[in-house]
Amino acid sequence: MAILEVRSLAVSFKGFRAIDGVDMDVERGELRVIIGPNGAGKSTLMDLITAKTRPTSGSVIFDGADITGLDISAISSRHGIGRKFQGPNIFGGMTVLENVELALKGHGTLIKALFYRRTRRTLELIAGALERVGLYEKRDLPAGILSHGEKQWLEISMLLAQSPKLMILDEPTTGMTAEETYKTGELIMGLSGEHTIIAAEHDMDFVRQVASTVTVLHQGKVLAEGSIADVERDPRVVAVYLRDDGLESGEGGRA
Amino acid sequence: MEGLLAAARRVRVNRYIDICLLLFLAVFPTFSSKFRIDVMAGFMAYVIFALSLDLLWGYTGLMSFGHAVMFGMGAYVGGLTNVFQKGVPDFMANYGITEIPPFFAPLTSPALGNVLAVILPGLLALIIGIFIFSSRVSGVFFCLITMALASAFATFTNSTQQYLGGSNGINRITRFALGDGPVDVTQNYYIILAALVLAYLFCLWLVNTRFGKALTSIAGNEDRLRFLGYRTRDFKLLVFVLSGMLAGFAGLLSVRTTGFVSPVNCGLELSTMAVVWVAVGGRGNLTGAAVGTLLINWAESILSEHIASQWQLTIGVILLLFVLFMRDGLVGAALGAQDRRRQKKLREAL
Ligand SMILES: Nc1ncnc2c1ncn2[C@@H]1O[C@H](COP(=O)(O)OP(=O)(O)OP(=O)(O)O)[C@@H](O)[C@H]1O
Ligand SMILES: [Mg+2]
Repeated sequence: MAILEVRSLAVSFKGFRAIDGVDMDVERGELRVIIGPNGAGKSTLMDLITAKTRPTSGSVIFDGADITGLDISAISSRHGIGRKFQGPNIFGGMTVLENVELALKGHGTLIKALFYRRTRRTLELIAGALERVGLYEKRDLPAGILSHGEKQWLEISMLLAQSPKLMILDEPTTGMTAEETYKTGELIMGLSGEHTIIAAEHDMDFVRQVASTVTVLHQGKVLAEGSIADVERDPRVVAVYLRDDGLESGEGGRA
Repeated sequence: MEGLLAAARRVRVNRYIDICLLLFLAVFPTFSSKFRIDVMAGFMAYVIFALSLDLLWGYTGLMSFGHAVMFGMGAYVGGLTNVFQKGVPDFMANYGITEIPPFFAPLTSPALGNVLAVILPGLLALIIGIFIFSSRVSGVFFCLITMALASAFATFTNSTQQYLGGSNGINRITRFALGDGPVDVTQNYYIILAALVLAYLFCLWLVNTRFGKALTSIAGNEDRLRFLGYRTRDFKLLVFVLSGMLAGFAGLLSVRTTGFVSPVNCGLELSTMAVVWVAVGGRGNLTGAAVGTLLINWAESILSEHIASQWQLTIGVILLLFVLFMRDGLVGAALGAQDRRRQKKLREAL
């Protein structure tokens, strides 16, 4: 059974249908990539799944529970959905280690936050999350001085510290060099299976690398869904997306 | 020895400022007149008030223009408690009140009254906080609501002649008693200094807990923190309550030092001044709140003898200069310079 079921989800902003009747099933342990031109609604779909935005209609069922329009903090703490926003979103004034520490699962209530102590166990968990993304050596640096790519990895590491069932990654490779993008692809493939992952991406090299199921969004609707090979051959997809953005050559989709 | 030096270099500059400031305050009475000692004691109570604002504004990003209400509540409750020990105060007697009204009964006990001077401002903060934070209002709205609160409180105290002394406020409040009578000026000074050290250590502990780091992150990116599973509303509520209690505590200490409280002490003006103190010293590092408060208040007390009429204008210009050219305040600028130097070294080492 699917771990995430999105049912006829829709939202309009002042009459503009940013998401317009989306149905989507994601299996447990799957790595799903969402592609689509700028403004297709990828980020908005993620906002709806994580309760940042209330849908106008439709529902989101996660692991058997209806999570439509819950409180954001409950999405993470109670249902185990972690989210990485588009672009780096770290706390630059703190060290790399402190960022992951802040994200550590199960310490977000007031009392626990007041009396949290760094123990060997918490340090092990933090170290594990940092090693996974290759930032352990840089743990004592202020997070603000990391490179753009490293900041994105730090964010993934913060998600890992939450040990989420579902990880939602909005454009995890933006601003990365080709080499960093490749490394991120490896990392994310390594994480799938253990975690269910939904990633929005523009970089077609990345999408081919992770070679998973792809959902193509266009004007708030699901245009196509299937393997990367099928999707790339789909004439409708080629018409609205691949051709005019020059993505077939893998140049990235920034308009 | 080298290890010690390396460790000393790792300490942030503001900790050295803290220690120098503490030493200075500890010896200040040995070379100062009674008058100056008393003035400084009052300013140290203001420092505690500024620390409470720093928790709220500097760390959590909630800029309050009505924080003097919490301070004033502590001062009024503490002042009433003190005057009730000598029976019905004159401002009540003038209205034909011959017995302390029943709703003031808890304040006839000095211990309970002093505790309430801290608790009640916290309670007010709790009620306002529940209202403000559950509706997820923006930062500007928080400023406006607290500002409205400040004028409402000043109006209330001004118009409550028979119970709070109206615009005259409450006078002839005596210092804390030790043994058989009120303490002298120097003893009072050291009581306030001890209270300041305790308040400071409490703030320092608080901001270094995970709770404190969450507060800083709320100021930086609240939504990000919510997605990490934090109920940020609870965090803001608790810091507002703690900050209110600390401000009330400062009010209590202040009123027992200066001997009086009136609506002027707890309106928009003092609220705004506290914002200026923290802005000038630098917010979000505690030291700045202390430095800014002492600097501005001494400048006011010394300069206003000469330029009394232009003091408001001077303060306005100072604030403008800091907002334009030194956003992080004095201590913030020093910390920033140190951080930049360190980061440069770290980058070179990589
Ligand atoms: N809160 C909002 N209010 C109004 N319009 C919005 C809001 N959020 C998104 N939109 C609009 O919805 C559309 C979809 O935006 P969205 O950010 O989801 O696209 P995207 O596929 O993530 O694009 P990109 O590739 O640029 O990240 C855009 O036209 C955007 O302007
Ligand atoms: Mg987007």
